[in-house]
Amino acid sequence: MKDEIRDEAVKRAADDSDAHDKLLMTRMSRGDEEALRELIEKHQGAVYGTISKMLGDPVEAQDLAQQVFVRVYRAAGSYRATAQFKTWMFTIVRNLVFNEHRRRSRATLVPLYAPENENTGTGGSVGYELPDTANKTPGEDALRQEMMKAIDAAILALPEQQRLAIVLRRYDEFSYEQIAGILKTSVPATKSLLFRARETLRETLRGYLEDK
Amino acid sequence: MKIMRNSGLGAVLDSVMKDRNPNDEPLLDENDPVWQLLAKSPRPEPDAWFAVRTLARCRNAGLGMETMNFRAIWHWALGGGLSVCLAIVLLVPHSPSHSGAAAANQQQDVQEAFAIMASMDTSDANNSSSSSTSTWQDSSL
Repeated sequence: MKDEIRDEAVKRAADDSDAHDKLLMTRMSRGDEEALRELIEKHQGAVYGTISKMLGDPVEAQDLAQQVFVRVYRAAGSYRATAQFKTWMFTIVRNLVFNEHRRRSRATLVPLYAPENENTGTGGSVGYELPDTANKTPGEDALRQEMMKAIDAAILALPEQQRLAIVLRRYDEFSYEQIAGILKTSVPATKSLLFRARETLRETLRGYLEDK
Repeated sequence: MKIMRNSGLGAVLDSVMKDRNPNDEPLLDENDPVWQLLAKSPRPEPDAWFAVRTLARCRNAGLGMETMNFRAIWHWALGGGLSVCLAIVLLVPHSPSHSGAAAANQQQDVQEAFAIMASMDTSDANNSSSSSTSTWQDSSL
């Protein structure tokens, strides 16, 4: 019930924001560069953050996030406000991220350097190893860093649909309807995806949940 | 940072989550320990120059698009111009030659007609001078 109330509040705020986004798109279609700048500054955090969480690669995330805005800019002239702007923009994010994921699963990527706690030989997945929570480092900051890596690794290990659903819901506070629109599924299917993702994360991060 | 896994509410939520069906109403996000744990790894933010770089990239992409459009227009204009020229080459020179040929044909027809008439006149003259009685003349009489 509380979720629905929150979704309603989010929806009302999103409506105002959506009207503004559509206005910016109209201005962009007339060649207003200031509108483009405003749109980028408004959505860069959500777009970059989502892609970064999805790929686990900040450099690639930056490139893809830029591609999203380039596509938005190019589509400004032909953009028809049939759906919410943010849902439409995140459909572009979804397409680019899933394409990149497929490209990565076809090619075996070998990084130039291997950061600590990373397993580079696991094929399709980025392959972070979950840290051994029994051997804690003494510093609290190190512990926090370790936990953050474990959480990111657990998210990266999820199937792509579940991963995007959980990232959009947790970090971008999208409603079930918006997530369903982006993933092109129904609302019950979206709830099911989120449920399964949470259960997987609960299992993967059990050590952190029990330990704390 | 303690997660309330072992607290009373956490334990209750865990037992509830184990028996849950995916199509049931979702549990409150805020009360889910997993949800709280995910918040400990915040979403990464882009660097301060991200917007500037993206704007520059969009500008370049936009210019590319305009150039492409200009090229497309130029190609269409060139193609259209060539088509018009071809049509002119094919049609315009044919029109005078066609009319000239028609006039020549007409003139030839007239000349032939005159020749036939002349030959008829001469044959009539020969006929009338050689024999004054003919079937035609008889019948007219």
